Amino acid sequence: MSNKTLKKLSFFFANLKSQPMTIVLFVCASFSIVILFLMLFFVAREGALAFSKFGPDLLFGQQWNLEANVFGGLPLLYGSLMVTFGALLIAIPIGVSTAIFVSEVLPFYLRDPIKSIIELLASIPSVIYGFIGLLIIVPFISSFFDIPSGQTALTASIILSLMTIPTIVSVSGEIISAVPKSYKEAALGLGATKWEAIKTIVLPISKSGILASIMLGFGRAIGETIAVSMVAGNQAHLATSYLDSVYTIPAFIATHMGEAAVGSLEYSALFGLGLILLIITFIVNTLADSVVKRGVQHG
Amino acid sequence: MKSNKGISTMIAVIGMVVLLVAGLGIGYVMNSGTTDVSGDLYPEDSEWRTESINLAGSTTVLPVADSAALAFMNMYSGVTVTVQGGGSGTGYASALDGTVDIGMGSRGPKQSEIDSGDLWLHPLALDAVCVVVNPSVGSNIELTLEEVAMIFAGEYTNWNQVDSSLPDAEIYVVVRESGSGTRGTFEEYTIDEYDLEIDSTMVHEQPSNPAVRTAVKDTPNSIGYVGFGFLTNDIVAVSLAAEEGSAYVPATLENIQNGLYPISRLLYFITGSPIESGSLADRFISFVLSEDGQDIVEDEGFLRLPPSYNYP
Repeated sequence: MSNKTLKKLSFFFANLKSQPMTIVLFVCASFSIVILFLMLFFVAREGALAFSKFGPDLLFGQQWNLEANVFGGLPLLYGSLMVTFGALLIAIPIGVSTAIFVSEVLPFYLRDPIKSIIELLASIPSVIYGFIGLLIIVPFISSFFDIPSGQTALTASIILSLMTIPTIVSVSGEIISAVPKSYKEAALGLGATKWEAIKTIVLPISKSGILASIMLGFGRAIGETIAVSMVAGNQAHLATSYLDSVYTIPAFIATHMGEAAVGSLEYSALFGLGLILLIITFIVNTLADSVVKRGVQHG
Repeated sequence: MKSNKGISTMIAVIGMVVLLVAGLGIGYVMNSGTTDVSGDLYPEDSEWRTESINLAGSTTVLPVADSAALAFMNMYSGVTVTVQGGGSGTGYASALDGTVDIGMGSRGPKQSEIDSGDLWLHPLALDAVCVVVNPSVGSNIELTLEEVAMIFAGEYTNWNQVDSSLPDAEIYVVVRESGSGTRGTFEEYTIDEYDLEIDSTMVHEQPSNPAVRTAVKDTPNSIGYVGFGFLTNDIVAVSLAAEEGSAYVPATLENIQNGLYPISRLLYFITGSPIESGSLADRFISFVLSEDGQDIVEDEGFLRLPPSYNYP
């Protein structure tokens, strides 16, 4: 196994010499990988001071106190996960149903225009979503639930779901469209209704791809900064309901980085939070990768 | 093919873990997360240094610097003054490492900043931090600094605990992020005076003066604080008394200039080296301190430096 791999690798490098273009591409490809690794390295290096001082308390402490030099990020991690989970709860059903509808049910000539309209949603700058949230959703939530401030976890989740739906729709849509026509025709030929064909043939085949699109949406949602910072109310506590204000890690870092003295413990703790966020997204991406691979093998 | 994929994923994951550990290790050994940007970004004799300067730092000072830069560029054609935000921390850090010619700060330097290099402070204006409430609380609110401190520290959670004439409603506390110059000044005169602490789980943070103002304006029964230049008619500025029994002072320009209003501070330009006389930075700072420059300071809602002011 490893022998085979080595052989392939040595063949690849031997071939490099004779193909200048390959070398160029190889360098460019390596460059982006190196950048990723360097980012990880530097964030870890800047965060090391805080990790050495607080250890797990950086993750499980509940107070962030600059005067006392105590930095605990639990409420922020909690807020991030809460808002992201809420966003996915809204975005998954809407996103996946939209994808099925657009790729399977809509008449052929309407598919592309509708798809491009949905994908346009993905290109709206996040600060605009923040404005829309402040102008429309915050007052609405405040009056609908009769609470003093409409800046809640629910508000942030709604905004984030708007931002993740296009991702889910466009990726799942591609996957669903890629299911061979002949499979569906075979099902229809056996007397299945359109819905049965979707349920028994299309969805099982594209299951792993749909899951991957959800993971992508998760990455988009947990990393979103400005829109959330504008509507979440920024209260660093363990919220007990979706009608409470929350604070997320990216919003917190963006707010505090400008005022943190470079090299201070707070500065390092902010990098530590960033590292935690990076690790979470890496884990989720790796999981998504393995799910897709397994799906492909079974498919 | 399958096993190959598995192996390359493994290699990537192992590589990342190794790097992560290496980063943590090196950072730990260095025991400080600073990257030193040393060296002069603009050589002394370079042609364009005399033609342009850049400023960065406190968002409180930003509007003054912006308007002053515009006026300054109108006076001297061919001169460029760029102004950026980033916060007081950024202002001190960039003045120290030479990435800007002039930093801006809405607070004095912290010990860690003094320790990391030479600093020159040039006061340019007076500012006051005003406590503000949502109109639903009342149109004429009087509080002592101690009451303010108790509210922000979460000792009082309902308005009628503060005073029986105030509404029976939970207080919604809005603050700036820790490290903000406005917050530092506010806490110095209130929270710190009474040995209290802000409980970070009880307050709502906003990243700028306008954001605090908007939050207080939109949220019934809320309290917050903003720089004097950010007071508007749709929020109520609280009259403050330094202690129980002394007079309640409304937040007016006059009261702040006379030093009666209890929470006021200086705004600074910061440089990492003494200012060469005649350089563009020197001319810009002199302009801000001149009659015209101080008019701009007033236009932006801050206060002139009193003529008798003793420079440290």
